[in-house]
Amino acid sequence: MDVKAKKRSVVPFGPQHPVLPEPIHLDLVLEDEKVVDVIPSIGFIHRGLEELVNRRDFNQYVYIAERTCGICSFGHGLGYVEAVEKLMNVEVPVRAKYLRTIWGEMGRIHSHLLWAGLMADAFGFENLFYQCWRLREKNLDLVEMTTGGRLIYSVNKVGGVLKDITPDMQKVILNNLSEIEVELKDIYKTFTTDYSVLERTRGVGVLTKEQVHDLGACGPYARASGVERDIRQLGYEAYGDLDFEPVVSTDGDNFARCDVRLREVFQSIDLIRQAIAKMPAETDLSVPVKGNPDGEALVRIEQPRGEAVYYVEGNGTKFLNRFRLRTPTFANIPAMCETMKGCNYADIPLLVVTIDPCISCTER
Amino acid sequence: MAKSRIMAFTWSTLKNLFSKPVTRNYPAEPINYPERSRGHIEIEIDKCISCSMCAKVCPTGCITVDRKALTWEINRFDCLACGYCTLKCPKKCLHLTPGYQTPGEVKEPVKYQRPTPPPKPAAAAGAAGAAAGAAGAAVKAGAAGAAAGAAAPKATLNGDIVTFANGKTMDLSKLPADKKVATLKKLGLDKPAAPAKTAAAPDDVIVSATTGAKLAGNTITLANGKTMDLSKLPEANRANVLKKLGLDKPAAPAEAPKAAAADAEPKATLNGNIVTLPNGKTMDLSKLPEANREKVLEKLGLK
Repeated sequence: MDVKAKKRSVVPFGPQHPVLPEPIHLDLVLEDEKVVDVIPSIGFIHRGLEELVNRRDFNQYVYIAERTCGICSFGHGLGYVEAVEKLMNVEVPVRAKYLRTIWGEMGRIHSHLLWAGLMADAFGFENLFYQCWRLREKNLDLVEMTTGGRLIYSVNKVGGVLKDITPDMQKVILNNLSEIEVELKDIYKTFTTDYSVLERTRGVGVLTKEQVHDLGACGPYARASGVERDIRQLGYEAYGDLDFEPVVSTDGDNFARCDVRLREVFQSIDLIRQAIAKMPAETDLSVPVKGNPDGEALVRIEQPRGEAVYYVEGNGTKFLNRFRLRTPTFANIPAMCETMKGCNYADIPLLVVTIDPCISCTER
Repeated sequence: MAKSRIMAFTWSTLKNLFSKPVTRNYPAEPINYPERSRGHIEIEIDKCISCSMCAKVCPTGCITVDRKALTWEINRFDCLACGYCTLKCPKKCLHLTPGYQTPGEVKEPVKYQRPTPPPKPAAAAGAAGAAAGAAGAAVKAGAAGAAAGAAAPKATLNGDIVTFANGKTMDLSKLPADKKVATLKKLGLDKPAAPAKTAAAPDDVIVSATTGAKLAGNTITLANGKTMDLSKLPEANRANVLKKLGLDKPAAPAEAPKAAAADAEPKATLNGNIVTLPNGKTMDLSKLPEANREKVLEKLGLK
């Protein structure tokens, strides 16, 4: 008789849980208070958006691709539009590239601040949670001023962008970014030096560099373990003209992930300032696109959560044949399950939140 | 590596305690939407031309355009406020305005009615009368042309071969049965005998109101079903037979109802002793016996 087998119990985690922004289900195999094995299951929010690409023409689909997820929505719209432009050999005007970069970085700030709030909520620090989200509201006001929507931007189209950021708006953006930076320093200090936060994050859920390579993690999750990989270095859109280094940490635990993401917010503020300074003068915002897509194209962009891959296939009609989106969360889930083995049961919500789960883009 | 402090957040907490709350006092304090805020779609219905481009491009399909009834309908609960319809409208009558839609109890669409446009003067003279009568609902050259085209078919049918106005031919025997019927219907050729019949009916078929006999060309069909061929009779007798059967009235459309209507009104005029019948013939009352004179006048409604 195996005594060890008797002590194991399976506890279901999710799909409803206060820390989860979207539903995911984990079956946790426990021995007393230690987690031994994790079996994930996804599929609670599958909406069949990839099938919908066969029924809406490639121009209409931009609005649907954006709505794959509310947090990383600009990235999805951008990736789809870039893939179709690559397919149809469309060269976007330079100003449009800079505008897309600025909005992409605003989306990154908003996403990381949202994540910081959820992280604070996960270890019970609600005051910090509200402070982070209050700061995020300033960012959302900037986005609403320039695009019209708070989460769904709807400014991308195949061939360019639909709206411009006027010089008045640029001044407002720069002022607000300075205010955000000041408050952010306070939040960063709390996340990295507060005693109760450090007790929950330091040394918990360690992922080594070799494990990152074996399991295929990406984004800030991988950069916190020392892997210097940032897809923005490929130079898509206007990133080739901007000067930045990937934000890396070497510890590989929860603390390192908090640190990396918050430092990335500082980096994004800096990138927006650079882009506004280097943006070329008023030109066309978009080029007309003629004909129908035919062939295949693959594009990778750096979403706030990591590397997202967009594949489109056209067949000469106005409806695309196939649209495949591989999200970073999908790549991070196996790594997450590996970090959970051997940790305490109470740390599970934190470990789920540190991958920045965006399940609605994982299962379109 | 990071030194830990016990109350790192205290200064922020104290600041928040003694400063104004961030919450906006809505609805007491009105919202200032930014200019570009995407709230809901509004239409200037006077400029709309019912082209339904907006309905075609809408990603959710929440717009319905009825070209005949001249209405534009939107389901506000399905609308994403993406603004694609505003980009595609050729008349630029759609606007994406700030302000979220108000809550409602039922998810029913909102309908807007276009004012009836005036009839177009550019249509052909003959068709303009018919088109104006059709109350200007989407009066286009195509519609007028179709109305005129029914009278003058654009294709002719000869057995299984259809010949079009531009000279091209089509072999119907090569089509499957259901497509054949649909094609004939589309070309207006599905009732080949009907146009000939309806065109001929007012002219050639006379129905007698008194005896029920029908005259079609040279054939008389009696009320008991028997037929009689006029061409076999001597010419002198033909007029008599027609008169007897009540078929001698001149050919005119809607003969039978007219005959019935004519009975209600006086068909003759009296001038002294001379009665002038509607067919022009005259009758001298003084030549009739006195007893009959009253009867004749009564019958003619001249009393």
